[in-house]
Amino acid sequence: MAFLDSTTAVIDAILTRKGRELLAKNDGSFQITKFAFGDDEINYQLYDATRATNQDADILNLPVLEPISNQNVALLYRLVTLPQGTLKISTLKITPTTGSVDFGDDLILTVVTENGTDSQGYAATSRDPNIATLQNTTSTPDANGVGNFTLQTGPNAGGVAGQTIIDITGVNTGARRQVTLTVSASGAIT
Amino acid sequence: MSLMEFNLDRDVTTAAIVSKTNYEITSPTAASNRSIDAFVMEATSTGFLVNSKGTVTTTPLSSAFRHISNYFFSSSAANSIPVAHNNVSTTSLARVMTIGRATGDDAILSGSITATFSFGLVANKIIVDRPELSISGSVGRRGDLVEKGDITNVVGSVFYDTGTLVFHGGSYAQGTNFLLPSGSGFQFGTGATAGTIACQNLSFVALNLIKRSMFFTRAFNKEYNYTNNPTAISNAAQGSISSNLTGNPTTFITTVGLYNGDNELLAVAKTAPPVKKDFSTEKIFSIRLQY
Repeated sequence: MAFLDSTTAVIDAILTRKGRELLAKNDGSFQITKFAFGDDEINYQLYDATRATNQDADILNLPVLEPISNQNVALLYRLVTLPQGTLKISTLKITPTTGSVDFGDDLILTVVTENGTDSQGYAATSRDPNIATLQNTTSTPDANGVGNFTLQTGPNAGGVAGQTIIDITGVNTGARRQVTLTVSASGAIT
Repeated sequence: MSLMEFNLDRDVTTAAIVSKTNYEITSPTAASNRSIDAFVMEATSTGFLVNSKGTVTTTPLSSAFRHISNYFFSSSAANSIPVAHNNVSTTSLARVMTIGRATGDDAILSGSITATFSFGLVANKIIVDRPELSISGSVGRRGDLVEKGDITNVVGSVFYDTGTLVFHGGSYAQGTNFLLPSGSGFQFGTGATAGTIACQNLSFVALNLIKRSMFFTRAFNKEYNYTNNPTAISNAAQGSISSNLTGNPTTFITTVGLYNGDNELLAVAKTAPPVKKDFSTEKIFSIRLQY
């Protein structure tokens, strides 16, 4: 007779659109090899360390959203392993911090990690591929730790002008930053 | 580190669960609802495929014939396939039923098929399947479709893995000839009129394969006690952690993401309520994924 280990929680996962896409290919490309934890719904401003008890009462009562299938936004903020006593978390420095290009022009974003390293590189997604697509969705940093992404617009994307957001995440650190890109209608075929 | 690799031998288990569902189709509507099509295919016809509801599709009959004959019988069988009941002569016309499958892993249970046909004014001709004892071809397990009252009267072939029934023979003398000209049609219905072939009833057992994987994700005491959540950062430019979280670094897990080798998020699971994590606690989540 043994007690069940109450520290193990069983939870159901759903496939993201990307997961469904790879599963449908049925070519072995659907292979899960890594995991990450996230805390997107948490507002740490509600964590009151000065209280003697129940510092986390407000947080533990926060509603948690159902899982969503858009892989670009289903897990935004990853938890990270750092030595105890760490005071600064890694951040991404992206140049330029915002972008504005003419329809059809490319834009190159450079990214570097501060307060840490992303030796496994960076991953980027465009929230609206009709406005801008990424020529490369992953980037391996060079000897100076700098990665870069090339954004294509106009006919090389979906042929739409407007504004979209590019999300860039460090693979190791989980640090993420977003860049707002505006593609002017100049030159667009209407 | 924010992305942790699984030890696939230790942390991941996968099981295949097979469920069986009985079906009985007695009308064109029921056939349509179950994605079952019945049609005549003809190698030299210039006509178009008519589905089980009697609707003319855009698929040429000759294309359907070549596709099915090449795939199921022989790569060189472009214009003819063997006649089922003698395997000597050939035919350029056959009747086909395709049973839709939800996934590529689904199939028909061998030995489960019973179909009742009307040939003109002669009704209630019962056809059953007799599976091969071993798998001999490249298209998976096949079986013969035979008359229930006379198993020597082979009227066709069934390919269980793809849910395809091909009626390419049958004794004319016994009133089960599926090689009547295409004008006789091939539809679901309660009974046939003179010169037509109808399926009054089709029953079978569908096999549905579901894969279930369990992923054991562990957060040991010294792991995942810091977060990239912006509400935990007091100075975004410098990455300074809020002072209320530096004394006893604490996080609250709400989401577990499962990634592939290219760091693409393939599946996601949520905890409710949030699960507290700090240097004095360890957490294990067993993530169940069914697909």
